[in-house]
Amino acid sequence: MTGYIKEKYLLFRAKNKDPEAFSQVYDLYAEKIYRYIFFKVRTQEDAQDLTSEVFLKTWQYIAENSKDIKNLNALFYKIARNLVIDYYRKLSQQEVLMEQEILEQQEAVVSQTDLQAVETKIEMEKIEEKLRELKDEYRDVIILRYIEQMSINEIAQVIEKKTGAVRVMIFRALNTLKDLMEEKDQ
Amino acid sequence: MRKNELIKQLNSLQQKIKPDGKWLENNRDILLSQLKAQTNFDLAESQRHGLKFVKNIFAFAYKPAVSMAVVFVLVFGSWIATVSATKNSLPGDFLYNLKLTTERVQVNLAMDEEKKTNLELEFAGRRLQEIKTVVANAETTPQQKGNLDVTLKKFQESMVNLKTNLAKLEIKDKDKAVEIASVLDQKSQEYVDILQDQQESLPELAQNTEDAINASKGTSEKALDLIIKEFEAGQSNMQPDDIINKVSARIDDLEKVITQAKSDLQTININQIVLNKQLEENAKAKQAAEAEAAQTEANSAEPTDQAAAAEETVPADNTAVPADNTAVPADNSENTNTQAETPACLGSQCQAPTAEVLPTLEEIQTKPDEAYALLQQARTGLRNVALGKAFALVKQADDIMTLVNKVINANAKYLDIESLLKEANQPQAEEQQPANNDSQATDAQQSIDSATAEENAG
Repeated sequence: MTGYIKEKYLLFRAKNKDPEAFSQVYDLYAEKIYRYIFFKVRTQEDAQDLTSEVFLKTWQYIAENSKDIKNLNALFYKIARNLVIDYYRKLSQQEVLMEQEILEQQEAVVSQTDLQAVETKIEMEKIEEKLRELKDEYRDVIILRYIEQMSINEIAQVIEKKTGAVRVMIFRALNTLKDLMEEKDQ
Repeated sequence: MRKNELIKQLNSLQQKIKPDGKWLENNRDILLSQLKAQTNFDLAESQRHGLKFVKNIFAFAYKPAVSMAVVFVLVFGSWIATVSATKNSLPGDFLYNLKLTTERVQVNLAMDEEKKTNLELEFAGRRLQEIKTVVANAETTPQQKGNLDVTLKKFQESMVNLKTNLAKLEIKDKDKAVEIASVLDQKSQEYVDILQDQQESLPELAQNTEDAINASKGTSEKALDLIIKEFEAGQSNMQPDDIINKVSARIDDLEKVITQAKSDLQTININQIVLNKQLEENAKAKQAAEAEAAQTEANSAEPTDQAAAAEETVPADNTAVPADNTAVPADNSENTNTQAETPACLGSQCQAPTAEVLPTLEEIQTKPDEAYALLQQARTGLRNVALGKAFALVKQADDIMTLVNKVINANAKYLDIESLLKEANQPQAEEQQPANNDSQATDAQQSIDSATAEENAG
């Protein structure tokens, strides 16, 4: 079975409330969604929590919506994106109190990732760091386009913009990222 | 740095950033169990909120996700197991209250009035099912039946909630309200029928059942009211025929009630005459016997012995002091609305001794005919599509018949002439009076005793 047909089949089963089928969907998407969220939130734990929430939400969406789902990939990222937005909205209410704690935690995470990938070049860490410095919508399109290698069309569905706008945004985002990287180099 | 290099590096991030494999697997299992639970119990709504709830608790803690996963499993695992166990629990069962609470939570978490209404309707139906199950089970103990009072109360609450929900919805979304009212009207009518079927099997809970029926009727009335109001305001797309059918179905039902009530009243009237004749004869025979007994009593008994005397002496003394005795129970019956078991009814001038709240049998004799006349007016109204007016008349007739049936129920014992006569022919049993009557009689006797003692001393 090709990936596309398999996905359609799984989706069909999930729509008929088949949890096993959905757990296979999870296998297909969990890594991607986790990665996407990881670049957008502050800690690994938050990324994990949000990832599991994305799958629950998506399941509910599939089960409750009678509409045909055309692009599961886009749906996943869309839900993930909204949940991250919610996450920051909630966070901003606690911001003042938690700021210090989060910073400490973040340092811990960074050092942990260091250990996990000893062989990775220093350059790589820099790109990860710079990616976090980008503004939200730039980071979104960079992750989706270059890390997850999604098509412009799909990205347009996720961020709910026209394809032309997406193209322009990717171009600008990449330029900004490049500038940031070079800035550090000098 | 060239763009191509940058893109290459970005691409390689895909390989570099990966979730922890163990977490990935654990989370998959958790997800699967959650989804299974959801599909099995269809509690999607409450679980989503439950999830948020648990999350909020830990939001400040920033615990590692793995430990949170464990908490999820513990909390949800046990919760789901318990909820599934409660599903079939019956009133009086250990888990029954938990079931009720879970349902309440579901209703409270429901997003809009429509969902709330659907849930509430379903739960009301479940209550009735429980009642049916308990009543139909041959092994049901009286105590288990007694537990149904909670069930009836919950049902009543649900019906009242439905009524309020409908009123809320009426303000927000008229179209939806009419749609729901139509379902609600039909369902609550069904519920009334079911309750009336069960009523006979639940003599101990007569009042609760009555209340439940009234709540159900109230809801159905409110629903039909709304339908008619919206229709007359021209804001509903319901067919007038549908509404006319609904109203005339009620008229048909009420006419049956009237016929039944009329025949009941007739039976009561006849039975009362028969009974009174019998009682008169019995009273005469007894008076003669008791006069004799009193004679021997006066001769033999000491005053102190009398107070502690056995049952036989009490009735004997009752007749020995006729003036006091009849006066006391008669008052009593008026104040406390006891049924016609008091000696006041032994005479030929027997009246159903009911309190002020209920009219007497005589007063309601003509009521069924009045109600019938109202219904005929309502039918005319329906023919002229004056729905609001017709329904108002039906409601009026319904009120009258509710009252009539209350009076009939209060005098239900007159419907069964055989047991009445049997009772009348057993002088001992007949003399058994309500406890307070007895004590009053004894009190009265004691005062007489002491009076005689004083006289003696003087």
